[in-house]
Amino acid sequence: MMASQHLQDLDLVEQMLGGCETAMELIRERHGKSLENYLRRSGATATDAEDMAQQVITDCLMGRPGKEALLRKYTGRSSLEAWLKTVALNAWIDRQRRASRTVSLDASGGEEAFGWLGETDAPAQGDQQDISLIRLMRSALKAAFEARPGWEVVMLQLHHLHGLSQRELAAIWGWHETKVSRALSNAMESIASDTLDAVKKADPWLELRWEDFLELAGNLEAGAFKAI
Amino acid sequence: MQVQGRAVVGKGMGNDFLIISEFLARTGAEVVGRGDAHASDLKEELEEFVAGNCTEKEKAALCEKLRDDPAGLAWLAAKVKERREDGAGEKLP
Repeated sequence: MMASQHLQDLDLVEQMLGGCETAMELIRERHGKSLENYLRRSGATATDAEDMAQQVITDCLMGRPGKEALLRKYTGRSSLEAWLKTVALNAWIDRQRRASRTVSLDASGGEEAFGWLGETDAPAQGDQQDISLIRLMRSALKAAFEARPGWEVVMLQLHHLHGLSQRELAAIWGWHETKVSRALSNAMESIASDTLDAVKKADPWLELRWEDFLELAGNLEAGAFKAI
Repeated sequence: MQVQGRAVVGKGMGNDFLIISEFLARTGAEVVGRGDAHASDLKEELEEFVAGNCTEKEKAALCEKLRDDPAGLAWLAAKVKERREDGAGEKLP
């Protein structure tokens, strides 16, 4: 069942899409500044954050020439705030990556500067533009999991996915239950830390906290990744 | 709980694991790989593991195989649950 907050958000969006100017202004007022703050917290400069937040809000509310308002893709499965954050962060990552590659291209000027065009993480265009954030998160998580010893990954899965109790894990590992509990906590902390390190390594300008990462991961169903 | 000054994992870490596992599954990646091993190949080793008879070295080696073997992991979990139903799986070492 959809949370009441999301139903209210969906109702507001539907009013806006139906041409209600009050709803449009309400969305702009309610979320414009929070998006700006979110982008600043994620590493954007004040100017970039303001510019990007305004652009995202405009794209979401009105679209661009030949493109419908992005909010037509909002389904209410996540809060509007979380959905907009995902759209904004994805757009900002794309912009930063394009900018850094342009600088690299300008600086070297030679044929080698086009090397990134053939890479799988080349900046996507049009409908493919949505995947930068997903790709970044997925590769960071995979790197974090691959860095863990097999027994940690197995223990985490047996407990969290297959529902085995810490007591049962203690019995088969031959450990005390408290040791299993500590191992599970440490493994999860290492995965969180290594994931954020991998994100930082890929995009040093991006400041992502673990709770932000989880919120973004949980929003996948919401279609926000596909909005821009 | 603070990890290296940035990652914060709290009481909801189980939920964290489910969120990221779901994310990986939906985006075409998985926590475990799709190895060629089959649960039947590991059956004897898994039974020893469930019985708590493996050495640390054997457990580590078996888990390296299991991380690429979802079927083996599922078989192991099912075996432990069978013992739970028999009342034999909850004993502490």
